[in-house]
Amino acid sequence: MSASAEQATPLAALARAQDALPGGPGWAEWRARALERLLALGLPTPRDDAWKYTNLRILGKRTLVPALPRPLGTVALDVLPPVAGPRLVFVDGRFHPGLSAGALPAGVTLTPFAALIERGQPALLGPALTGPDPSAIDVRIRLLNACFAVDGAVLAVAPDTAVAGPLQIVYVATGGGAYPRTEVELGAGSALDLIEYHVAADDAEAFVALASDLRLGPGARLTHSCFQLAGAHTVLLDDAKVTLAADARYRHRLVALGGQVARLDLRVALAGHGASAELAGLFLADGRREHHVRTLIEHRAPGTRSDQSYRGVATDRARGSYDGKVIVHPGAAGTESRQSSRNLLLGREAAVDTRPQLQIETDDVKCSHGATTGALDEQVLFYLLTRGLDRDTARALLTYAFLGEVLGLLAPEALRRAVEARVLGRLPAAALIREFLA
Amino acid sequence: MSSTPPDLDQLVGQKYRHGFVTVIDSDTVPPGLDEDVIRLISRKKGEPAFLLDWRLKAYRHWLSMHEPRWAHVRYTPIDYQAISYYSAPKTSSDGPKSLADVDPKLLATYEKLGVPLHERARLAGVAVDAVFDSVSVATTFKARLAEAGVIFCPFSDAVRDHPALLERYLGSVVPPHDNFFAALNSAVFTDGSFVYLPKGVRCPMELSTYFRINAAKTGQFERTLIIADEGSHVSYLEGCTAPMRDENQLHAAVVELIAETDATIKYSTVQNWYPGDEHGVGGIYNFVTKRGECRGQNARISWTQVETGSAITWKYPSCVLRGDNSVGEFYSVAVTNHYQQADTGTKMIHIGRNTRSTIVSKGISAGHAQNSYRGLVKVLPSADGARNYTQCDSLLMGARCGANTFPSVEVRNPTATVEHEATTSKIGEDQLFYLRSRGLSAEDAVNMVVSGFCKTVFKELPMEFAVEAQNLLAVSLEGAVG
Repeated sequence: MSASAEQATPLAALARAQDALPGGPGWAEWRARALERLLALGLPTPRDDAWKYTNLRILGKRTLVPALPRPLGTVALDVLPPVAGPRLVFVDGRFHPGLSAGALPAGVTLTPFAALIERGQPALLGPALTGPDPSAIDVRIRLLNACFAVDGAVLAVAPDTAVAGPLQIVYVATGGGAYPRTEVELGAGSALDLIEYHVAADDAEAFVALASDLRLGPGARLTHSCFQLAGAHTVLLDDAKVTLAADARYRHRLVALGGQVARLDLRVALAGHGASAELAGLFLADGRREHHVRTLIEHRAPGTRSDQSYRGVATDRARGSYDGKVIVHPGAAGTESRQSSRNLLLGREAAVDTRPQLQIETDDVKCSHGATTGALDEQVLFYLLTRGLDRDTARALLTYAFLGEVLGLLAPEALRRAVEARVLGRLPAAALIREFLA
Repeated sequence: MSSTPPDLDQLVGQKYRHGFVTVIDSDTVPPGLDEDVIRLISRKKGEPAFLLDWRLKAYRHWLSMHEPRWAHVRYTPIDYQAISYYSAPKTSSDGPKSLADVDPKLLATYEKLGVPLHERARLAGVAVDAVFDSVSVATTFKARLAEAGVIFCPFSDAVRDHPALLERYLGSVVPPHDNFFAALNSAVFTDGSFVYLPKGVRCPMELSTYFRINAAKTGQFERTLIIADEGSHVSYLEGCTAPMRDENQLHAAVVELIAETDATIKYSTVQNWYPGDEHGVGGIYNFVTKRGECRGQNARISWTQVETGSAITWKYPSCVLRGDNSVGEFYSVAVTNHYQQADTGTKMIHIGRNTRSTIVSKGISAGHAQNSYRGLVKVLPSADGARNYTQCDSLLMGARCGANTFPSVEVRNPTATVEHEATTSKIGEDQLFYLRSRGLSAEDAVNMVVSGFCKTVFKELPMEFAVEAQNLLAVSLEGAVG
């Protein structure tokens, strides 16, 4: 995994780019350490198991150097669904007060990441980067983020606070490297509904490496929805790490529609007794897009549950992948885990790869996984044709129905409707299908 | 099952039943590997020049390769220079001409294993090409097979008698540079089996080879090549048992199958190499490359394996489905107990149109064992209408064992349909309780649940093998529940 000659140049540029970043010597040292470790690991190659399905050629063409603050052109936030509630907007990884709106609800405190940097205390992120990683997962996105993150949201929800209405975070990319950082700490018994959006203009050649760290206290509940509408030339690497204490409950919803190469690495550690995670998502990759979903769920305590349900559609020359691993550690008795990945392959040159993996180190478990990849069912298609639908409409209707299970899980309703409309907009004969659904 | 019933305690300490060593004067070269050793092997076998070149090329490539580390297994590094690469039983002449010429001690060994060459083989209608260490010592039923036109002989005979076939097919499915262990095998293989079925021939009997490991500190590097020409049909059985040994032994075999148009090859394995003792000491390292290629239309290759032995198993019998409408199958039962580690599975590569594959894998893990299924289903853009169905189930017995499933599914054709499903669970306590309440012993109850779990695989085995496999399973799991 040593850096090859052509990789050496951009990495050297990265080291120089660090000098321009804010923060005292503590931060400089911390970032230098992250870069050093990243260099030691080397940039991903197709031989790295974790990067086998991701198009590294496109990654190689992007500048990773962080974008400098600059005057904004038009940022089209009208693509966002009309969901009520406060909104934090980050442009190229920096907080943008002008676009942000709404007051934070009671019980939620926000510390800008930039403020932490000013205070010169990088301790918050230290252990996660330097400590040994027992699950041997790929930490390079996280390291890259650590090298360049200058802003982000550090949110805390007070114990026993059920936050009313969703809290929204919008990540806007206008070009160049963006390294937003999100930290959420949910106190015991609290509840939060968090919605993330990724937005970028289609002509923006952007590289976004987002790192999120979500910690759920005992009995806390978090619904975390991610609506990805990045531009056609955006590379988006989203690395989210979630830790659950006893009886905490985490829900993740992914809707991936945009980007050139978009990848989610979601790690969930069920660390407390009775914790549960429910992950569901869909991707709709058309043209030459790439959508990748990688999940790692670690059952570290007894009585924990996880459930995953992913639907993927790849058309034209698009690529998609689902690589999910469930680890049941010794002692995690009574674990229940389910994993399902279903994929539609609708293009002659489209490709879908799936790897549903189970690694189980104790016997008192009930684990299952299923994965399918195929075309639309010809018999069902035929039935619709006999009902008078033309082939394109019938295919579109079936594709929409295929995603229906995941769409139905989205909340609040304004979000679900917006996603449904977006998905329909991608399919032929959308107007006709809307009529059916009405 | 929170406490161990006393009657099971003694069963936990079950010793390996086939553990014995026959003292035979071996013609063994000193440990170590270099080009001279390879030249020596080649000279001893009287090989043609092309084969020596082939070996040397493989060796030189092997030197540039690294031992694979991706498998979910742990073992102390192998010292390849500490292994003796050639060992042949000494016999009075160049080789036994008939059973009477065979060393009686060898025959006695087979008796202990329950393989009386001259009696049971005939009764069962099975031709046994018994491989002892690295040189074949006896072959039966040659005449009957010859009558049908089937060539079934030790690999070294094939080198002597059928060099043209060998030159054409050897390494055409598993090239010498394929992987680390295949390269090593290609450089130093000493013997194995060779089968050729001419066009349209249906083999009149099941073919069977028993592999044995005997001399201390020798690795075994078997090479099997089975060629089924157009429209032919063969069922091949391979069974293994090995004597008890304290030192880890390396076994790196290569099996190549070639099925031409309309041909069928059915390859069944019962693998019971010495698994090491209950503390994980000793046992065989079984690092095998098995691959079959369906070259013509409607060809069919079916792998069935029952893996109960070996300390470490690293084995992925695979099918390359090149011919249109060709079929690949993989049925596997892998049992690991004590400190055994198995990383096994299959690859199905769909190239031709309407190719179909089925994978059924059952893993059973007990004690401190690790059992992994690792598979790849790949549908290439050319494989219109390809179809795969995969099912892998794991059964766990005990809180300290592990069961893993690592499948990869790569689809590049929108007309393909690929389905994968897997489950992992503890052996059903309610099922065991029910069976015990009907008067079955704990041991019988476990056996019954396990054989039900494995049934879909066992029914793919030839009958006499199915019985052996069932017995083997019972022995392997004795005392596993506690």
